[in-house]
Amino acid sequence: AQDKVIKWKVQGFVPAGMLFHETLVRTANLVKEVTGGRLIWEVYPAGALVPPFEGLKAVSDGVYDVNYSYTGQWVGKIPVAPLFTAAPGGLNVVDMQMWLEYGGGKQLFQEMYDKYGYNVKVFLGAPISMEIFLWSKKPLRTLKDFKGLKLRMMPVMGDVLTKNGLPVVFMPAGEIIPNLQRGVIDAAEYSIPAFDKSLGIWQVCKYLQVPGIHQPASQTEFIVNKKSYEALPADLKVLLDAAIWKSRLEDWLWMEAKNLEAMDFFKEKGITIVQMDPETVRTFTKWAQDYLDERGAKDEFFGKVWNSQKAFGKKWYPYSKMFTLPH
Amino acid sequence: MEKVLGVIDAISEWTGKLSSFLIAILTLVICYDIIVRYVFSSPTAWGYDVTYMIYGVYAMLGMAYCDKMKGHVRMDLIYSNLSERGKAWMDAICYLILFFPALIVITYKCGDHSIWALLAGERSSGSVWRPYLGPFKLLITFGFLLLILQGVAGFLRSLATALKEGRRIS
Amino acid sequence: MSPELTTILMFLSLLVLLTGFPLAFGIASMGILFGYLTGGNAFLYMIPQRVINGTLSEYILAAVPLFIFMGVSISSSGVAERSFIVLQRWMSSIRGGLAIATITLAIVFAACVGVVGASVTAIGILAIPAMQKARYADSLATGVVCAGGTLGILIPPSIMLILYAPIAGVSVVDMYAGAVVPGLLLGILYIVYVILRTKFNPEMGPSLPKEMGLKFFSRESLVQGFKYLAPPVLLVILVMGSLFLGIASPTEAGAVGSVGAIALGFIYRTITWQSFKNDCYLTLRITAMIIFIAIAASLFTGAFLNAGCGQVITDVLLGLGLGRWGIFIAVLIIVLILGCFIDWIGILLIMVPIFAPILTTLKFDPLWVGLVVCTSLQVSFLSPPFAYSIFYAKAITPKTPLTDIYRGVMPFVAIQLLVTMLCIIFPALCLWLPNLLSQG
Ligand code: NA
Ligand code: NA
Repeated sequence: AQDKVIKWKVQGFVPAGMLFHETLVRTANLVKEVTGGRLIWEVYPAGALVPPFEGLKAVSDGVYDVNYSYTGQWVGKIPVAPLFTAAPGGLNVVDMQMWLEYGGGKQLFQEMYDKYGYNVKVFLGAPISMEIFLWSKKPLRTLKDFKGLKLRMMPVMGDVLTKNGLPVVFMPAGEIIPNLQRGVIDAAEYSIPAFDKSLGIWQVCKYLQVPGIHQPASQTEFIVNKKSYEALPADLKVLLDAAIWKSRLEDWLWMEAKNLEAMDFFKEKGITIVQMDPETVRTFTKWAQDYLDERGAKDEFFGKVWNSQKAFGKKWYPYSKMFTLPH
Repeated sequence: MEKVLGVIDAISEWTGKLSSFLIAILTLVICYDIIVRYVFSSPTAWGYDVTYMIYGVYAMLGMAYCDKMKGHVRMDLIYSNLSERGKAWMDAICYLILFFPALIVITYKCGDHSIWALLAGERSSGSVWRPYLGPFKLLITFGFLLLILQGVAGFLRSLATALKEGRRIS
Repeated sequence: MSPELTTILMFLSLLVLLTGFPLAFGIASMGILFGYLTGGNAFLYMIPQRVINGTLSEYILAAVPLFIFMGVSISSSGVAERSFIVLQRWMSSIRGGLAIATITLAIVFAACVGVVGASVTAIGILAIPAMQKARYADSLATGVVCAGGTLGILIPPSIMLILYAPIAGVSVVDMYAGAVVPGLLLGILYIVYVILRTKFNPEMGPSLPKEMGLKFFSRESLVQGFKYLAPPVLLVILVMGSLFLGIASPTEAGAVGSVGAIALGFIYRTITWQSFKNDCYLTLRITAMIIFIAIAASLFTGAFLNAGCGQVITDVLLGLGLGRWGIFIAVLIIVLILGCFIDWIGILLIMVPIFAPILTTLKFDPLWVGLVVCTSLQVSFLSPPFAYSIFYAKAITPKTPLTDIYRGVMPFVAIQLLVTMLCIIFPALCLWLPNLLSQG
């Protein structure tokens, strides 16, 4: 069986022209390279096999073998899932890696899928640092700039804002830019700078707001159908793990470099980067944390995950602050 | 048999006619959503989900009705040149090959998925409203069941026409 | 079964449509058959994903029933017929006047809707009866509606441009701007074609007898024009206004239009409970027909992609050893051929990701490539056997033989190919407006 080539179908969560499709293709190439061509990932862009928000169920059902995505997409199926991408007002990208590896995060991640009855094994993909908070047509510095704003924001931050009197609009991702252009909405959460650059949202909005309270990090995942995984020979399992680990670090840093480029590009195009008022940032962060506390009190497993992140933060934040220079 | 076919027709017709008013409801719902968003700057949390749910259920509950009214388009290049009995034979055979197998598979799989959604408590994942999806999906499956039922009537009718010498069944 | 064989057999399998059985069922059956043969049980789990979570939960498709409802309501209020009569009387000396009016309407309508199902059916409902009454040839009447209606997905707003942009990594804003000129050019050339065709074949679009003509500058003309044209014009302003002022999204604009159309019924006192009920019934019947085709196409396309047929076509493309322009032309030919068999979404999801990076490395401007491809995709809606626009038109006028419709659309397909070529030869047609806007 040593020379038998195993082919897996893999679907991503973005269209083919986007950055996160490129990271998927890069990972697929690594898998092929590391396994000496014995395991091949046939890559499909979002929607080619099933709608992107259905990847979890589809892989669990065995429609295809691997789904590359972020857990925020599973919020309708598993309420706590988004916390494994990022908790609004929560862990930054490095904090998140530490929590996942040494704060019990990785174990909770798999426990979540098992508990909710999904037949998948999770591998951690590349993370990326904080998203842009909002793109808008006028600067949004303080809380009062948000009053009466027609705003597009995804869960969980969308829930947080709605609960605190700032109702949000929802629309398909593709319609966001045309709707911003025509003024159906005034501001929208979109993605990381590198992503936002290619789709041209900067052509219709002259302001971008930071920091991205709603998504301090974005952790990606590869979920593999358990049956497909179990069918791998033991050595391929090890090689697969190695390939994904390599891609996790490589793609993370590669995307950060792209982000840096994109921010320079925005400055060149005359986009104003609005650093929001610290008091407002604190308020939003507090709202988010209170909301998560409240959810955690009602839903046991939700609480388990959120409290684990909080507990790790308590240990980690003082340490990481202490060992960082004020640049 | 006439009686059974009549009952099936009536079921298709009435579910269709009743659900056809959903389009007026959808229109009103969307207008309400536009007004509260544009005039009062306080968009509803449910606008997005309600829109696609009404659309999906509406379209699906109309399938049997559309079939009963012979509204599904046919490629009639050859078909239109056949005799009444020829058409009936063609339809009867096609029902067996091109209708029942596919529709039964679709309905079974959609039903299976809907029941999963119901039991798993699956909710919508985009908006902040996040309604349960089980009932929506079951209604869609119900639409497929109605279509199969109408197909049974269509098949029996075609078969009767094909087999009857000279005389047409209405 | 190898992907190569599957590709060929799936294309051939569409011959089942010739049985004359409702084609949505035929396409769905073939999709499931090949999906199962190549993907086994796993494919069956894909069915609810594509049917329920895909097509039937697609927010943007809600525009289909909404705009059809609008079209049906305008039609039953009699407003459409009377406004077409006025237009015809104004243009009595011009042959094919109604067809020209229909195309003009289609261009305006295209700026209001983003999905073909909505535009072809709504325009068809309004214009086909009027043209049939004026004894236009069925082929011309349906051809104009199919071709004009298809502009709905090229002139923004457009679900196709929205989907294309992220696939090829280009800006939606630029795609929207760039599609305007090719879209308008198509519309204008359609009108030119109608003028020429009715000049040589006057019986295809007969002019009115002299005595029925209406001088444009006359009292009667103004009164008639105001009375019968003001309402539809107001309706168009209502829909376009709500869209461009940012009051409604493209899907919601259909609801705005429907309310407007019903209001017209009240103003003209033509709406009754009975007429309203009939409008609802008809809207549902047409919607169900369109959506089942969409479901079937999604299953067929899903089976096609799942079996790896997309890769087969690329391998053929890259195996030809062509030069820079050779590859470009080969891509377009493949788009045209695929357009005969699968839906445009399948082409976008599979072909574009494959060829867009290749063409970019060959130093073609990705925005221009996108606009040329989207223009050429207009053909896919009219090219048999699998031709959305033709199916929709056929549903509106069931008595017209499909052969007439096929014959009617062919000249328009030729125009679409011509405009695609013009866009290739003169890239400025696509790029002038986006460049202008990005400088401003
Ligand atoms: Na359009
Ligand atoms: Na076609």
